Amino acid sequence: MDDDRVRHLWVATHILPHEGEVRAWLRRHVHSLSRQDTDDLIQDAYARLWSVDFTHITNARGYLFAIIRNLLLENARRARIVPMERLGEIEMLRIPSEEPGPDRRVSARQELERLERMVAGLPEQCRRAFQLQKFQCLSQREIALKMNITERTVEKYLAIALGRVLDALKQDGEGAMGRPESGTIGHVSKQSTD
Amino acid sequence: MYRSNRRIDSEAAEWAVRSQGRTLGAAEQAELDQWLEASPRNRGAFLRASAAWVDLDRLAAMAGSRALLDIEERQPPRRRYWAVAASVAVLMLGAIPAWWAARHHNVYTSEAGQVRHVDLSDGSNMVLNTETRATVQYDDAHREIELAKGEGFFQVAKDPVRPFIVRAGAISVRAIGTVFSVRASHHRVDVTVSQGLVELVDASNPDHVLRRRLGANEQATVEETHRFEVQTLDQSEVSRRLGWREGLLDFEGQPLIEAVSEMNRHNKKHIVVDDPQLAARPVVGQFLATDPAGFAATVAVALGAHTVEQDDGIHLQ
Repeated sequence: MDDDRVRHLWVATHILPHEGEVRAWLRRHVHSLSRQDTDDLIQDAYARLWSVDFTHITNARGYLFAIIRNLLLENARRARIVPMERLGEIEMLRIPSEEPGPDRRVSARQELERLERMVAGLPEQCRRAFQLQKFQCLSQREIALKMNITERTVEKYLAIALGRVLDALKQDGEGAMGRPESGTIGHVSKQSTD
Repeated sequence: MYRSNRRIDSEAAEWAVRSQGRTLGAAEQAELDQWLEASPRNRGAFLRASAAWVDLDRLAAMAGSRALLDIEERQPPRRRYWAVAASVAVLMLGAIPAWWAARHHNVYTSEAGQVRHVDLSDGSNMVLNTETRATVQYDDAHREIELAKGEGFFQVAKDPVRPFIVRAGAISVRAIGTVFSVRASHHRVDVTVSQGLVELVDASNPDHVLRRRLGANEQATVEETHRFEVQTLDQSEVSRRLGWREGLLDFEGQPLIEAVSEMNRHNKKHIVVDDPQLAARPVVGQFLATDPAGFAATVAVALGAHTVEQDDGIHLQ
């Protein structure tokens, strides 16, 4: 296995499962963060993992929380307007020591249901490309031949499917776990800055 | 210039799909490198997207048969007609089988720690676990795979004309359109079916059927003498046993000694358990198959043992 793949697997196994918990924690404790800020912060956290030697990380969840807290501190220091107390506040933020109990964790069944819903919600062509790749293990080229479209188009379809998965991960921390995307209540995602 | 993280996410998704699905061309690779270089957030988003995309393989394996059924119902199995058409063409041309056979006699091997995906010409695919050797021989009447050693997972494209046969040790496993795995160890062969049915036949005498039907979530263990046992497994147990396809080993309370021998199958660097009492303790958790040091460190913490690095490997004491 090449190094990139090992890193991706490591992140998939040890970091992704905790993203929802981190988001929920941020929402509970750092009220000043907008949704947009949270998403930025999460991207920054993954950026830190880009080059880190993960083979020595034994507690990935704690490590992720530590990265997040450091990023909050760095951001707060950079933004001069933040009153001094905020720094202390962040420093005092406790990393939850216990993993959520089995009832709070996403079960394999819930994961599958969410996947199923995601797949069902995809546009027809997109769904077919996704199923052929992930369930029938066909390559992009084979899918292109089978569907009589270009490989680039296949990749666009697959990227849409992956985009839905990434969006669903963001919902994890909102107690709206596994809820179809259109059913998100209470806020409109901020895309206006784009 | 501020770019929204949604925009970054969608670019990252596309790069993740492209770079995982095939080898990028030089120009494309340069474009990706430049994009990654442009901002740490791009790198973060790319790592997150890549991990999520890899993770879908695990989910797809868990979803397994249900998702496969779904797609087969939706799409008429067109490849069946191609396969029939192909064999008819070969019959008509007659002279072609020499190169046909030559082209379709292929040996695939995987090294320690490697998991190798192979797309077969009929639309079937196989995944080879660590240290496996498989010879694929296709002709107009047969699809045969000889598993000399190791373990293979097979997703078989339906073809009523050509049965799909995996030979391992003393048995042949015959399938028509199904998903199963075969593991050949010293004196026994394990066959696990995740979807469909297979038939177990004596390798030296194709008329001697050992078991007519082995169905979904059933596992047969066949010894050299043809003595065999069948057990029914949970769906989750079946997916757990197939975790190696994603480079992960999943243990749910097996004795440490079993978990260690499973880890050692995947690595040149071996783990040694010195204390027999420790060896019997249960191990729970998911581990990277190619990370014996990580495995040893985690287990040591969990079981209150410690690790000592020696010439012959990592000792758990």
